[in-house]
Amino acid sequence: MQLFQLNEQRYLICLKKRYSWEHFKKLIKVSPGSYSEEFAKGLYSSVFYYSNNLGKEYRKFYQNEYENIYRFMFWRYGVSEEICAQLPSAASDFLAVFKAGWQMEDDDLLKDTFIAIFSELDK
Amino acid sequence: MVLEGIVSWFIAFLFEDKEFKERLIFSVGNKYKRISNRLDDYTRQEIDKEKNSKKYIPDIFVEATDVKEKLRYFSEPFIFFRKIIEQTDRELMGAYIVSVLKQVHYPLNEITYPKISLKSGNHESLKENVQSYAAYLGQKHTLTDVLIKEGGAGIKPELKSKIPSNFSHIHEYMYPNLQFYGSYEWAINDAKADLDLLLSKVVINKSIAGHGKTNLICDFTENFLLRKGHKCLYISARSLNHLGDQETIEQAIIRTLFTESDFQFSDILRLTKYDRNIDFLFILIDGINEHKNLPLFSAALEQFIQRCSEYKIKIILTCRSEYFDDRFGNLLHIHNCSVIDMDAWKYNNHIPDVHIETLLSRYFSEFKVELTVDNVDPDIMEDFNEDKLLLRIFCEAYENEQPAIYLDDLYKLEIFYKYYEKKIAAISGLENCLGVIISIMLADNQFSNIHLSRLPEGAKKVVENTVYENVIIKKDVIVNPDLAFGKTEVINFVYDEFRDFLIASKVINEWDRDNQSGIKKIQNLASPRKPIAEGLQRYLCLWSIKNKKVDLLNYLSTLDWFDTIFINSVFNTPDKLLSGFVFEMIRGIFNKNSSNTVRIVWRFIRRANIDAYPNLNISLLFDCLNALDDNEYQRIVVEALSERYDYETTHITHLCILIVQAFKEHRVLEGSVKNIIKLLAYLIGIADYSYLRVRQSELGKYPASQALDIVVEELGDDFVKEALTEVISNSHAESVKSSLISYLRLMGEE
Repeated sequence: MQLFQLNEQRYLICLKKRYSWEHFKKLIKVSPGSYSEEFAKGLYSSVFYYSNNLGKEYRKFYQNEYENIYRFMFWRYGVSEEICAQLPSAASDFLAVFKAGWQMEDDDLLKDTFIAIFSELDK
Repeated sequence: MVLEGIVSWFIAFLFEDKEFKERLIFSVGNKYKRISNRLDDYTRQEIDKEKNSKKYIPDIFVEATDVKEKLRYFSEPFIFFRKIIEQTDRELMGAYIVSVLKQVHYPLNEITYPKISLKSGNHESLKENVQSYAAYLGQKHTLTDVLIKEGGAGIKPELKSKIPSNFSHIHEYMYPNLQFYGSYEWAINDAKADLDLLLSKVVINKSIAGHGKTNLICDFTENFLLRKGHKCLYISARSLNHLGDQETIEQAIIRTLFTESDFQFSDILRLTKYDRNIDFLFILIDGINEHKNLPLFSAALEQFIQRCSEYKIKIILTCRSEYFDDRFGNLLHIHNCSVIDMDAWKYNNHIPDVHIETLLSRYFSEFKVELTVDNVDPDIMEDFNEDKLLLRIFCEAYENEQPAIYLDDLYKLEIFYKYYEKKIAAISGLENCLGVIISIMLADNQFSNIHLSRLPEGAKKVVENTVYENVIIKKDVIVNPDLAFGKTEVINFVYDEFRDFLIASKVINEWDRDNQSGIKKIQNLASPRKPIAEGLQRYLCLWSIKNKKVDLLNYLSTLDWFDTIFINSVFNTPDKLLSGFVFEMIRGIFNKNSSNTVRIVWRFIRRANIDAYPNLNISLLFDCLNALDDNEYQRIVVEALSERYDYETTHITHLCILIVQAFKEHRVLEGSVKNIIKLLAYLIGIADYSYLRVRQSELGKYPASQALDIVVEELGDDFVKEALTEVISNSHAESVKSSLISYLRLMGEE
């Protein structure tokens, strides 16, 4: 798992693949109906539902316009060349830009928790 | 041509049906290939022209503005309809208000999702599907009708009973969150506007001068339409200036494209009909406001668009906002016409840093400015990003030159001066033309909207020939609503500050010719609240400092506004141009009042490096401080720096916090370290009594003392001791000396 902050709100995440909610729920072990489950759902949805899946978006809408996905990411999302160089293989992985609606920037603990969960998920 | 002629004759002989004949020619002849190639060639040639004139600089149109994305929707509706749907569905699903309504267990009516089955290339199918999705969005919009909205928050009282009783308590504490429905409604409204674009046949991009319309449309033509193989024709409105009274735009286009009279616009229409690879022909007309005969052009354009609406043609226009509303309002009545206001807030999102760097880099390389982005101070980068016109002027001024090894100051007078010199050398008659305009402004005491008719013919010609560049002067339209025929073309400076720079120069010429007459002008124009006072004051000071006009500065120093403007001007002048009389004036005003003191202290922090600023540097501040006895020190320095910086801190604390940060982040250059420590030493005894009230005061009651402790931790004792000892021996203020002696003693004990 790799996480890059693009601006105050937007993050770029790179995972080996897209994970199901069932898989995610099993990993973080939240009680059904609890606040933690609500929170986990929010976290999961931000990354997997409400995010922009860059690989998919590139292939569907921009492939003929930009010579490669990195140019697309640079111009459409402001992903720097330095970040692109650190990505393993953008075309085959799950690569998404999502908004951290839960103020991850101001909360280091939240950010650390996020990184821990998604790193574990992507092991 | 011979073969084509034979084929044509043979077919004409066999068939009377012209359409059939033309279709056969399309299949076997060269005619339509030539038309198709000419459209491509002409477009490429025009784009190259825009590049050569630097109206279009490739790769600087940054996409954060989303305007380009809207043009994609317009141009490829079949592809991007899917994207609009996916995006909108995602935004509505993830909207905050939806999650809160779910949490309070309010029953959300399920709205049947429309069946979207788009047949590619089938326009009727597109229309039907777009309409059905728009209707769905209309229904989705009703979700927020259950909220109290204006003047309150929560579910409407009469609807609260719909929440199951076992969950009603949740609404009691969550209702304040039910007022944040904006993102939901915006998503729907934006999507509806996007859907309109899909079906539009005309889109008009409007914005004020210098906001990148040409760059957008050229970039879109080159990197989207041409790259993706769309058939298009890019043409600037200026190249249709030859449009005759009785002529149509179709005829003018054909005359522009082809030298022979063999072709007609109907041939282009047939090409779009016969060639299955052409989904639409895109006609892009840039700068419709730049046409020399606006009434004629605007009427012709409207008729042209009306006629094209029957065909597979989509039209993209750009126009200056001021002109659009007034001269091209007729286009708004056209069916299927959308307008994109590039200046609207939603298109002005924050541009990512990497794009700002690219923008600067491209500008520098285009104008061969010998500077890399790594050698530009981040604050200056931000200034350039905010003010692209200044960036353009800077690049033109320093074309093929190295403005600095590291750019951390923008000396506007120098930039304008170089720019002015280059422009008047390049454009014949420009100097005289600008002189005439400035003279009219001064004579009429009016600094905007100069009637074009006031200019002599020669100056008018220069305006006409240069105005399309939108860099120095622009043409505007003003309307007198009380009069019939009340519309008048006027000229304005694109950049007000450049106008003030020229006016100040003219006023100084007047001063040189006759002091009394110059004084009259200054009193009339530079007094506070006069329209150009702010800029004129600044450029009077800047010009006087640069040209060592001591007599004029002495006169200006008697005016109320002088001190602040003078201090800022001194620090906005290159160090090499500063000399003794400026230093004396700074010394003179340093202890005149606390605001002067504060301003000068802040300014000198950036001049701690004596090597970088050999003339005016922090040593002068130390001289000013050394000259003060204890009473003066208390009355002037302590009082000034104890004042509030903003609502939560004082100058002394804020200044010390910034210094500490700079040390911690190792941003203090080697040549500045000792002087910054000396500055802290001079300020050591200043107390900040607000520290108890301020929640996050990092530095306590004596911020400079605390800051010194941190610097000692970072750098070690010796360096600090040496700086402090120097201050003790130079200062005349007993309180400073005694505080520093105590501090040194404590350091020794530790």
